[in-house]
Amino acid sequence: MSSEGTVYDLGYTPYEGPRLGRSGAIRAIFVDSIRRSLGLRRKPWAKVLPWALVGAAIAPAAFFVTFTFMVSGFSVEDAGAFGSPDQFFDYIGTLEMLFVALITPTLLVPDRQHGVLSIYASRPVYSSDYLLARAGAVLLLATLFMLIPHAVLFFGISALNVGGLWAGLKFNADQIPEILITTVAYVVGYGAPAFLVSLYAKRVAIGTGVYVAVMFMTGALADAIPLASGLLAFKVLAPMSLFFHPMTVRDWLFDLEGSGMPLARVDLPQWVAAISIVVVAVVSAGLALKRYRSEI
Amino acid sequence: MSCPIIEFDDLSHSYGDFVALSGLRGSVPPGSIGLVGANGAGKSTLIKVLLGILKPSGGSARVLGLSVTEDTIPMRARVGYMPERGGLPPDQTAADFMIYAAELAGVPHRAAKQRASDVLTLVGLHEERFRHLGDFSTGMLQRALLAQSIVHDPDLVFLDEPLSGLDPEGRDEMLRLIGRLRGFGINALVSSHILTDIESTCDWIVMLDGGRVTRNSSLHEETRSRTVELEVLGQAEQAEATLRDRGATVTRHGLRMEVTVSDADPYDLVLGVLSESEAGIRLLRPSVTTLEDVYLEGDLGGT
Repeated sequence: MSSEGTVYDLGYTPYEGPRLGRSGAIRAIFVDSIRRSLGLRRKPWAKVLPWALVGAAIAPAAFFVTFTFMVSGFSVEDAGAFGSPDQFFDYIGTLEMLFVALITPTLLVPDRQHGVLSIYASRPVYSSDYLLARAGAVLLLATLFMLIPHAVLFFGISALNVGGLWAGLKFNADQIPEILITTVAYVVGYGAPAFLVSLYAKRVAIGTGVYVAVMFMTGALADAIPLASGLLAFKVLAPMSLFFHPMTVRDWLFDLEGSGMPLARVDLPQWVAAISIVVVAVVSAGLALKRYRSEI
Repeated sequence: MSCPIIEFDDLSHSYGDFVALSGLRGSVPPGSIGLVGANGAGKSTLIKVLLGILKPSGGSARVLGLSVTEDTIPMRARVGYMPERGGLPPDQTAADFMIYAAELAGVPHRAAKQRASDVLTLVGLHEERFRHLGDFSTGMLQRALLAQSIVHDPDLVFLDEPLSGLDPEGRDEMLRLIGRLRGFGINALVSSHILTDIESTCDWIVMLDGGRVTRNSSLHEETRSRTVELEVLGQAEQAEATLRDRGATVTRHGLRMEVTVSDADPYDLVLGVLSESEAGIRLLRPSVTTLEDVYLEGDLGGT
């Protein structure tokens, strides 16, 4: 046997396997969106913020359940905001807004900033497929971001029931539809404006900053509305309080009065918040399709 | 001509009032095609129309026999594209992005991993495959862009100014890679305003000027010379007169002449004339016609 090696040019091998077409491309974009949002297969710093927010969302619920279980005499009612699903939304809702503020620009802005859309344009996808896959990933992650801590809380509280876990689950089961629908309100109510801002932002940080500023400003404006105001200007302003709409929907679903909410201040019904959320979502979708029509 | 890979029929595109492409007609055979034109001639617009990104304002186009407007998805599944600028996310490794680029074209994950590894080796980036694209040099980025355009084994790849920003060594390397595509069974449409690049890689040219096709023909045909350089030993005036009598156009500087014949082989004519005279041949060679000559001829009023 010769001890000398030989280097061969392996040349080029044509691909003759299956091609998954458009559905394969959409799946690839969706998976890439999940990875990019959570910083997976990216540099370490890309993981810090999303996972810190995930930790901040789950940790209090897990801590509360563990603490209640370990400390005798501490009851569910003693836990304040963490003691019931409707109040837990107050805490996790703000984190949810920060989470979508972080991930939505990350999914949309860099592809435009670095010219990657031209690569999508040479693949078997339409612009609507690209947007659908990106939006789908935002919706899934934002939904899980809210539901997982709620699940920890729900199962934890149920397990603390004096009759045991099963009895606790049956006792609390009537809250499940409200939790699910309120979660949808938060996801769409906070996700759609984030998507809208990300369509036009030139940098991720700008997109995140503008979105957070818009949400807090609309909240602050609505806070400035005097109680029981009959002025038309305030009646117009109140439905624009994007920050409060998911909370108003929650109050509507959980039969809470929500007297401090902007819509209540101008005597508008709570369901107007749901309408506002839908309108913003539809406008965002329409503008997204228009914005990307000549890109992909 | 064998079955064309690109066909235009009165193809036009306008950006508002600005006409970028106007009444393009013709077809292009398989192989390496040079898309030539000055900046703003309409090259990038034509590529975008052929990819189905921009809708034609008028007329139609077919790529690989598929309509760019009605069969956009099946057509895109069979093409690749290397954009002039950008196209690569800096936060991903070369390997990850190649896998993603293959999956975007419908290649299943396991096969996409294999294809990514193969094409990165092919373009000389195998050692760099786990580096982030944001850390790549310009030359490496161009090779990565070429790799993503062929990772799914397309039938046709559009290369938009593939040599822009490269140093001489990088240009040579990229030209060598582009030249190999045909051997892989991949047709290429190479857009460039640098004519020597097209000359060294392509066998067909489509020349654009002001949104119109000024030439669409074989590069060999365009650069085939009908002019020869001739240097004779004595009797130069007599040889010149005889050549003129036989219909040739002659420009003489002492004993040296340039002889152009429009409808016959210039060598046959020159050798025939000189064999009848007493002049000897010191030099007889083709006058070199470059693509630049052809381009300038077109620019100055050629077809």
